Amino acid sequence: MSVSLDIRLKKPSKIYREGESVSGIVVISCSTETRHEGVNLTIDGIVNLELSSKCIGQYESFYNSVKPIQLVLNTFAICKGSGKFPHGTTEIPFVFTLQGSQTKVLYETYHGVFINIQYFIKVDMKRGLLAKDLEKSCEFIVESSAKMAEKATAKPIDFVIVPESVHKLKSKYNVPNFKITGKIDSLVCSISNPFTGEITIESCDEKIKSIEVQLVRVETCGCADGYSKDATEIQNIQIGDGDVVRKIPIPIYMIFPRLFTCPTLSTANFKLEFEVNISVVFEDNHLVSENFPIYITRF
Amino acid sequence: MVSYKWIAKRRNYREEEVAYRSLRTPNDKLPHPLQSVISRETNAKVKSIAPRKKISSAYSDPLSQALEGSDPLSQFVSKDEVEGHDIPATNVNQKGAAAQEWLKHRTAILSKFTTSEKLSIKSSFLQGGEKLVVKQEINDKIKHRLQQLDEFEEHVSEHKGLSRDDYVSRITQISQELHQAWALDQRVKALKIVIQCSKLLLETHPFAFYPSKFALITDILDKFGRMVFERIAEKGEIRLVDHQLPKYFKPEHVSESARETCRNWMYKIASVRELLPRIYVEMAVLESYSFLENTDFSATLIRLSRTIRGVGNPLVAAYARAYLMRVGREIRLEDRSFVVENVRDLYLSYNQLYSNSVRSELTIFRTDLADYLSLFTPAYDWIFQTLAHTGQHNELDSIWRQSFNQAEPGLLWLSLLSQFPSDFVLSKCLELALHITTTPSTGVPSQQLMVLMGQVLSRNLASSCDSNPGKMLNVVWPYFSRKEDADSYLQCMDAWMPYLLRHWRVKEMHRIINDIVQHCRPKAQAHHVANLTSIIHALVRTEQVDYQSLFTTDSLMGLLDIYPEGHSRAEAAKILLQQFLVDHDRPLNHPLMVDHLLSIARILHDTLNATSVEDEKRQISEIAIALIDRVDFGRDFQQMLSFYGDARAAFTNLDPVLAHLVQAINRLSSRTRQLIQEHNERTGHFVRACGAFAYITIPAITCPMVRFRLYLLSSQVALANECLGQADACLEGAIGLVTEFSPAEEQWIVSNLSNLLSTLLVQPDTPDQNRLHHLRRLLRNVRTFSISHALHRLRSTIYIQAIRLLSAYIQPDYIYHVPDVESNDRLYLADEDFHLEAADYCSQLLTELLNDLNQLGNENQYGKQASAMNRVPSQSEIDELRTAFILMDSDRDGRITALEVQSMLQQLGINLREDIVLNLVRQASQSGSTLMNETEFFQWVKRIQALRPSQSDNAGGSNADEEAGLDLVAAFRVFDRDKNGFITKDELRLAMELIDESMTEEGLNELIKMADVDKDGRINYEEFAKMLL
Repeated sequence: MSVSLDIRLKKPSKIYREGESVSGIVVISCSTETRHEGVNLTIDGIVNLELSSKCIGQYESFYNSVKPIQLVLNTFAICKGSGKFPHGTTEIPFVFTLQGSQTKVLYETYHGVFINIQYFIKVDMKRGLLAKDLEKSCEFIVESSAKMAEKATAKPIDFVIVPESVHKLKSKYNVPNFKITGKIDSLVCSISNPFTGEITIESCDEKIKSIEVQLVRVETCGCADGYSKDATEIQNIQIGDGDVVRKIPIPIYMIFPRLFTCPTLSTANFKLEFEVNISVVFEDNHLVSENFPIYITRF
Repeated sequence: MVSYKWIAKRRNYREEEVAYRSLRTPNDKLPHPLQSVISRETNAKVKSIAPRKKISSAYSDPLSQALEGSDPLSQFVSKDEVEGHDIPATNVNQKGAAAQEWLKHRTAILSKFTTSEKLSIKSSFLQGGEKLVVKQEINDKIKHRLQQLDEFEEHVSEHKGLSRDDYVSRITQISQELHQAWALDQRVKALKIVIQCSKLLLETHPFAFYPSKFALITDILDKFGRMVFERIAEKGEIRLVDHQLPKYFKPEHVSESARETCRNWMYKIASVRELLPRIYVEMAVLESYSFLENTDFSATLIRLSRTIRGVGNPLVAAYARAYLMRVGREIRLEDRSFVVENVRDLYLSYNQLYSNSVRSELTIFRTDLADYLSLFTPAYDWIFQTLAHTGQHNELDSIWRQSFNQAEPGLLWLSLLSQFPSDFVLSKCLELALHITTTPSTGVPSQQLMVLMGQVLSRNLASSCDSNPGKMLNVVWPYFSRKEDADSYLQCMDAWMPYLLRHWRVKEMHRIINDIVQHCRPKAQAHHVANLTSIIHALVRTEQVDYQSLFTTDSLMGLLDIYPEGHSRAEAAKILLQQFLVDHDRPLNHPLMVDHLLSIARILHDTLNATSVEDEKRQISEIAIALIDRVDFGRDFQQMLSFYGDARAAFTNLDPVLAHLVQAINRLSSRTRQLIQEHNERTGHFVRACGAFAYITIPAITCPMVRFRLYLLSSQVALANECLGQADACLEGAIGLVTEFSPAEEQWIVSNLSNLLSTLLVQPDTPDQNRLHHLRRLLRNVRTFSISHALHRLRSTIYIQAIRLLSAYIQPDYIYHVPDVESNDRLYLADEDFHLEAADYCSQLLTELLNDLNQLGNENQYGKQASAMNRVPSQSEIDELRTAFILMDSDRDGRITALEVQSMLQQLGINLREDIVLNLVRQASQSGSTLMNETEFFQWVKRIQALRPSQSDNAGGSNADEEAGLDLVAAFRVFDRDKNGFITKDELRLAMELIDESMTEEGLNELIKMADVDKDGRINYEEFAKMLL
């Protein structure tokens, strides 16, 4: 006597925008006739905040954990009252409109280290006293709709890296002579377009081992009086391998990963920002890098 | 036995012919009255051997035709060649074509780039579970082998050391792993495998293996791309046509879920950390992007091309670009701008090749720059081939121009020259040649470029005028002649030869040849031979060869002279002659040219020795024969004759050539006769000289049958030319050969002997010999031959033919005559003696024939003997016989061989030829073998005893008498061939001939008269015994 629950969304990509209607089916398959006390569907949107371990000591007295922010929570019954599911598979379709609760905006889905913005559809089947209740949840992805989101505007920037511009960490290290120029096509980027630009090694005395583009998230939790700010790497893309040709622009090209990036977000309780580091690693593993804070938009 | 008289019927041939004609349709040829049916059959057989189209000879010699029939092996080869060309062009579509070309390229790479150095492979997918154990074993083995073999490569750690084959098998293993992972739906693992594979491409050492490694790993990548593509198609419910998207396909047809999968792949690949794997994997799955809407392949390909700029190692980058070209070519895409972009990017990073980092890497691995550069060729070739494939001339032009701006562009030119369309390249060659010859180059040697250019030009001779040959030659010739080193000089000349020959006149051609000779003095090295040979090829393969000037000056001989002695020179001579014979279809009458050609052919002939194989001899003979046929001095027959003399001296070891020469000389005399009609004194001398030539040439040939044919032919020709002496000598020679024939060729013998007989009709008897001397001698030889080989049918046939001939002799007017030759009918006009003798001889032959028939009947006469055998022998007789048997059986094996019988007979004073004894034993031995066991011996003796008159029954005589009697019986049996208990005159004659004591007719008659007591004309056993005892 086994019963299984499953949720199947109509869209295979599971990406929805605010105001869009989400449709799908709840699939109940049971090997024998099953009694139930009602089946409910819950839409749950939540921001989980967590403090990083290096800050926890400082804030332990104030918070054990930051309270999660509920973005949306709706429950409706798709099967009211008690009843029976016949032997076999029962599919119950559902449709609801994705809408934030009251004044809350639905932030875009984001999976990070300290901040997670997630949306779930949960189905739970209540059963009698003797049997355990069944539950099944399914994550879906929320993207902000075109009307509300910001548009990216081109904001190109040129950069030059020379030994003088490098902030020396160790004075002992003998910085080789080099000149690296480049340009970023725009510091304001649409999340669906790649991050592009180019970098040219005009001259370099030392052999180059690698040129890398690093995407970094900066997550800030808390409010004005106390907060934690952490920068962690999302991904590192190599764009140059080995002692690359001098004086030729090497393209910088990086696609923003899904789920791990979202448009730059700033709310009262938390902030999500992104940065790009472009670094040149020399043969002796020393590296010079240039940091570019970027602003990501949906469109 | 009674002798029969033959009376020849008088015939009037003319009347008979008229009668015949009325019966026949006028088209039918009158059959030769003496020609047998069999001979016609053989002729038909000879003709049915399809003559192979070869070096055409003016007329074909029926004797050589048997040799000309191509052997089955070479037939197969030529068949294969034909089939090889017929491979149908299956894939017409663009993708298929590109894939096909890549396959060709791939095979070339794999076979060319190998290494003996140890390789290492880093993969986590090769280990785990059982495989780890297996690997351990292999490594142990390698370790062991390494210890044994070499220890100088310290920088390759031992447990990583893999031979090339090991490496390939590892790659296959990875490929299988990939399949397995895919089948188990472990897509992430599959992706990881592919990423790891492409990471292997980062490791360029050992350099020599890199291109092969590239080919192997891209195979895996291709497979992966294919799997991804097919899976998405399956998910999107797209039915693939021939593994490709259907023509009407649009991304909208794909289901959302398939597209989502595709997008997932894209994101996953985009987040691969390392540059090279990311590029390779993206290229591998590029085709799957066609499922996504708004895919701009052109932009993607250009982006990828740009991305490759980030690859620092020029070798890795070049191959990545080659792969990009390949992937791009297979995608259905109109816009080919990425190709140009890719090449431009390549140009931008080209100088990286000569950068310090590359140089330092080369010094670390102790690799030569030239070797290193050669590794780029397959990649560059592919890239430029793809570019050429787009077919935009203006683009090609700008790419070509830009190559001049590069420092050290030799490597680029190598690929540009070989891959760009010839019509494009040709017009640029002059400029390039000027550039190459004037600027020094460190990377690719200028000579290599020149060789390639020469090859390109020579391959496109037809359109090579575009290259401005006049100026070109001015540029290149000084460059070549300046070269000191014979190696590079010859390589260049080899490549340029066809071009030079095409655009230069005769005078310069000799200069070229002399120059080559100068460079190779005094003798060329062995490794130059290939180049020299191909130069010679070029010399004769051009479209208009001026053979006259080529073969009349000494330069060509000089070229052959610098060849090292032996086979290679002969090879060159063969090429020259073969091509000459194919091209030069006019008769050859320039004496100096003939002289040169003959000496070239002699080079060929002189390489033959005892070890030469039959086929080689045959080939050379063919060439020589064709050459002899080609020579024609028109009406200067005297010169022809002297040429044939020279040829005979030149080709002494080649029987077919000698045979052909005899034929040719016969033809010469026939032609003389045709022209002159009636011989005057000079021509008479000439044809006699011809006859003599033939007569002295023929004995040098080994095969008696060929000799026979030639003798016969020569005699006929001599007869036609009224050279009776020569004809007679030739006939004499032919008849002498009869006994040497091979018994297996019975049909051939019959037909040729018939031919000989019909010649005898017109050949008049010579005064210093008996009448019918030739015929008698011939028949004697035939008899000897037929007896020694037990060819009774042959003898009978020839006898019948001879009777026909004799009957024809008797006629007052012969059926045919040779003009101006007095045959026997005129010679013995109204000479009754001749007629009588002929008739007598006929009767003799007839008797013999009938005897033969009789003998056939007597074969079944054993009934009488069988009854005698039923007599039970007494014990003493058996003992006696046993002793005799043991005496004969000298090697005590319980069997008597022919040899033993012979030695016994010898002891008795009877010398018999071995084959006759063999016959005797065979008759006695019931098993039909050549051995006789004891019982068979007893029976044999009994059979003999049964023949003896009853006197042996009253065995009162002494033992010695008994024994002598036994011996006599055996001897009697030898004479009595037909086993009828009597020796006739013929049998006596035969027996005497067997023991080499020919007797005249009178002698025989006397002998019989002497022995024949009861006057019945034959000798019975008693008479025989009396005569001898």
